[in-house]
Amino acid sequence: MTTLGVPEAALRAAGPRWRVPPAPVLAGTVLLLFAVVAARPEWFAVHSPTASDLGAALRPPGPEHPFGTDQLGRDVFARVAHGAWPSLSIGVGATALGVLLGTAVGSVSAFGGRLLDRVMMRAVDVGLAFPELLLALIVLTVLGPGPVNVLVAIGLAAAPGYARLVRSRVLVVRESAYVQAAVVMGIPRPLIVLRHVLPNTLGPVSVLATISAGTAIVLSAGLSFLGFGPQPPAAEWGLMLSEGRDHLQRAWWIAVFPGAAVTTVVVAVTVVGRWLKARLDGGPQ
Amino acid sequence: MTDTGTDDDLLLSVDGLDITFGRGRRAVHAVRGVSLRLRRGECLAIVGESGSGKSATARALAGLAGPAATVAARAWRLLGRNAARFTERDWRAVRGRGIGLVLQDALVSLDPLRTVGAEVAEPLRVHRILPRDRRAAEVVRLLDEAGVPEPGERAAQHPHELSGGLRQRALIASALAARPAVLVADEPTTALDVVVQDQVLRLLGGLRSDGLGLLLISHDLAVVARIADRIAVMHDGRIVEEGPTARILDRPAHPRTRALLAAVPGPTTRGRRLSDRAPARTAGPTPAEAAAPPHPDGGAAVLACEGVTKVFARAGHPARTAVRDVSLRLAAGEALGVVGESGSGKSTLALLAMGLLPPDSGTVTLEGRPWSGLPERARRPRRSAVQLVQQDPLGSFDPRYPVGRVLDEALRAAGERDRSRRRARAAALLAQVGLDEGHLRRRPLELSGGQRQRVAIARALAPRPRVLVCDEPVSALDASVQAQIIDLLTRLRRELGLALLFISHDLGVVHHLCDRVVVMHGGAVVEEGPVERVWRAPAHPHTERLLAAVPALPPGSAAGERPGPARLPGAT
Repeated sequence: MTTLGVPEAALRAAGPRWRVPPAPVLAGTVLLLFAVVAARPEWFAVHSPTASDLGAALRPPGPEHPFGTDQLGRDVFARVAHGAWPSLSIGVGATALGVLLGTAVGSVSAFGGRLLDRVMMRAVDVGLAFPELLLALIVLTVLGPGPVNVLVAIGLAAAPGYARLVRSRVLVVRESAYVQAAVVMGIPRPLIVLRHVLPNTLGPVSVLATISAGTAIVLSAGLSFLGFGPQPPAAEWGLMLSEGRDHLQRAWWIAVFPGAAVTTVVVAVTVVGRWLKARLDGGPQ
Repeated sequence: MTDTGTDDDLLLSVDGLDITFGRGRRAVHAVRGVSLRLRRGECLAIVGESGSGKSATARALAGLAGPAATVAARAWRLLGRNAARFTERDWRAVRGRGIGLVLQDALVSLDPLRTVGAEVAEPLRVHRILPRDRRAAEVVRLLDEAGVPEPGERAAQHPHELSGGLRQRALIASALAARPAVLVADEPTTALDVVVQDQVLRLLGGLRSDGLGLLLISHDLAVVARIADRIAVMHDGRIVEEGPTARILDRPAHPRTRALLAAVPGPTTRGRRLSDRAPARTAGPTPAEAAAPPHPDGGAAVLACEGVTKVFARAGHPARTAVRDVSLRLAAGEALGVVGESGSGKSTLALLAMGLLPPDSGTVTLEGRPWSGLPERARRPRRSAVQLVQQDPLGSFDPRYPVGRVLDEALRAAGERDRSRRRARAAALLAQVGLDEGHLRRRPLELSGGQRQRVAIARALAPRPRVLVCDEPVSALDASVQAQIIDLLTRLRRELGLALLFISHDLGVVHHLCDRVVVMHGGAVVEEGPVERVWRAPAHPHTERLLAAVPALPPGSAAGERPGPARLPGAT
């Protein structure tokens, strides 16, 4: 029982390491801050996100408007703050939907008979064959634009990946010695699935979900940019990017600040997700 | 140090080797002041429990201590050069050609994407020993030399296509390809069954005649006793005793050596304690008491297999008969051993007996009532009667569960509804297997191999079973820990009147623990009888092979006439 290089005793003596390296801590703090902004934008923004003042249009960042104003004289900072909720909730909600659907499909595929498994997995293969953006666009063409439809579209597009992961994990966990031990104890099958199979399956799924929540946020901003998401005059980062695009030459701040917000959140999510993955894969590093 | 022979013969010498893992306050001082000498054509064995620093020593001597380790030595010479001054580049040049390393797990050590032949040829290529066109022939010759049958075909195969024993031999062939003067073998046979272990040991021992210096690392004194010229016993990072093999076995001076010797089950150990560190609450039985287990003949069969056959068929593969027409009867309170090499069908038999696999023909009955062929729903209420102890205890626990929750779940499944009573019983179960209440909060990952197996046994005892099926419960453990678990099973059997179906590849362990034995080969029972009779006069040639392969201490060694537990000096 020796791990390569380090004797077991040394590992035991070193004990479990709970110290979190600084990067994930910083990223986590950033995410927490954005979550608060999304929940309570009025704590941060003095101005209204939608009140236009054409006399104060296209003002560069300054003491009155820290992020400047847009072509209608609306405060960009207020719009970024108020845009956090629609921008983030669509991405997070879509990920949740994807995990839910994927887990359902994956576990049914793993537990249902061989025929059901074959049929479902071929369907999943078809889903995986399309790029997520294309799949989401197809769904949106059918459903029509709107924030909820964007959420559903991204969720549906992400589901096949989760279904694959859940299925393969369930198949591994189901054959594990601890599930065998539970059968020997006489624990009914549904309880074994609930207590042992699903919890041990969802660990890696939650890690993948964290990492791909970033992708979902980018995707939702992208679809909003294309006009499928919230409609003007709503404040949403993707929409703001799209509106600011026309003024990029004269007023860079209209597009750059919402863009920076998307980038910051996605990088932070990825850092946290990678750290979770490294912890799950084992080893203190 | 007893220096005999000229300095030319000295392949490897190290004085005051110190190895530390980590830095600062987290540092672990794994090896302290170890000094060793290895001569041409000599086999030096380093023996000790896991955590004693033997593996760290072996790796450091091959220049592979790893980035987390700090290695220092007063003097360190390898093949006449000052190894203390070696850079990584020097090590690369000397590794393979000067010093070879064979690790325990050949499956992990071989690249799964390369053929065995490519693996063996690598040292020839890296050290530019042979031109490309002559390598293939040399690979075949090396595999042949390492005892790999049909070496030409094997060279084209991938590691997963080979059995454990063949993989280990391929690994040895690759370690020997560049003709090193020193071979370091770290637990080279621990993952193998006794018959294959015997073959690999013979192979290693035979290499010495060509002048190879062999450094053999093992936890098992009986394994090294066959081929080692000298033995060094390590404990807690130090060498506590070193000397010629015969002297160490005959007159062990250090308590640790005596404990290691006592841990080997042998012809004279039946009914005796093997470990000196049994839990305090159990006084050791007198030999007479333990030698008279509950007699099996009176009881009715609690578990019986009648003509059981199991065939595994996969699309595209020929069907394999894992268990062929096996009948056996386990009486109440009896200990029945099932012995065989890996692949002989013993583990499949365990699954059939547990009702975890349906037999293709034949029946299994439990307490006189049908057991196989029932729907799981009908079997569930009777599952408490027969419990399982698996080979890998760690894998048998849900990785998220601490010990307390593992036991709580078992007790709840056994029908104990009251939470506080479950808690009390969990503590009592731990006490029964020699652990204390403090272990309830620990995670299995934080426990040692022996402690994990104790927890697995405690869980199996939770529903108060009548039968315990043990599938290789000690083969993944150190010899000394194995001794403790065997003693524990012996005691539990006596105290609780448990019937044991004990599955093992080691006839020595079975002989120590069981009343009767069933020998399996190729899925079928080839011999059956009282363990004493089978041990003394095996009827089937296959049993003889198993018997010959059991690692045993030479007769006349200290263990041969070891004192009973009452007289065992208070070691540790």
